[in-house]
Amino acid sequence: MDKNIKILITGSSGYIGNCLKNYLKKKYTLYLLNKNRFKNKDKYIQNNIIATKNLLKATELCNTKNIIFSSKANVYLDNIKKVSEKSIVKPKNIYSKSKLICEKNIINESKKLGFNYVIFRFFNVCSAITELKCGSLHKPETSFIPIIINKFLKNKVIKLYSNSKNDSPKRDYIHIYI
Amino acid sequence: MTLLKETTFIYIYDLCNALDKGIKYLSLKKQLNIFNIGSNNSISSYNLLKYFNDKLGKNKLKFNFTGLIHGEIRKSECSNSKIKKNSFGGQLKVILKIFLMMN
Repeated sequence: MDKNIKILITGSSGYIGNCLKNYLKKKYTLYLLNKNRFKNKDKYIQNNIIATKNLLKATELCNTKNIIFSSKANVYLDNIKKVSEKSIVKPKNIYSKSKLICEKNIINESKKLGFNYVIFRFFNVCSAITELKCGSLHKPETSFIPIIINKFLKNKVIKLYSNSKNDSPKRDYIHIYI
Repeated sequence: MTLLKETTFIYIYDLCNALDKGIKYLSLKKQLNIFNIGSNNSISSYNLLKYFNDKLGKNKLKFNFTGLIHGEIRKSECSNSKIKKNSFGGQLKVILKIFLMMN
């Protein structure tokens, strides 16, 4: 436990942010930041980029030394091989593009301002922390495993976006907590 | 035959733990780095459903193939060798419970 370490978690009402908040709250002094969700998706994503830029500017004022940024596996080019950190980045959708822009902004600002950074590129995070009643909930649901559960509970048919079992999309799942 | 097996690795305790160790690691030394956080294995949507159906029995999950859709990523599989080598200065004593596809 080190309550002298102060940590700001942005997006603390999201899936990872909420789980992380519950995981860290006994160890550190936490500050939580959420932003309003825009109905317009493009605006929301643009705001992500601007909000990250503003936070980077604030590091100078607050003398912040360390930043951990949660990025996504989707920044990589769609690849039949395993991807390492050196693999080509070429995001397909605008959300992943915004993550990559934020990564680049962090790297550039770090050179100017001198803060440390670690960027984690998370693959498919699933599951929940049951004892803390903390997990993923979206409306509408977009994550595959919650979709399976919802369809099962409602006795509905699950759509698989492929032509057959042979070209079914592959994902690398990781557990959020044990 | 392809089987899906839930297994435990002595590698990454979990995602939250990785972030926690990242905080400690950053406070110890200068660090500018990018790490993949994944299991080093992938599973297809079909095999995941098949796994659940095997567990539930009697093909309780109903599904159909609706064809490929534009923009869908076909495969996403992580190489986590970098974080394995780095392991945050030896601090990261880790276990990650994942779904591992066994061939």
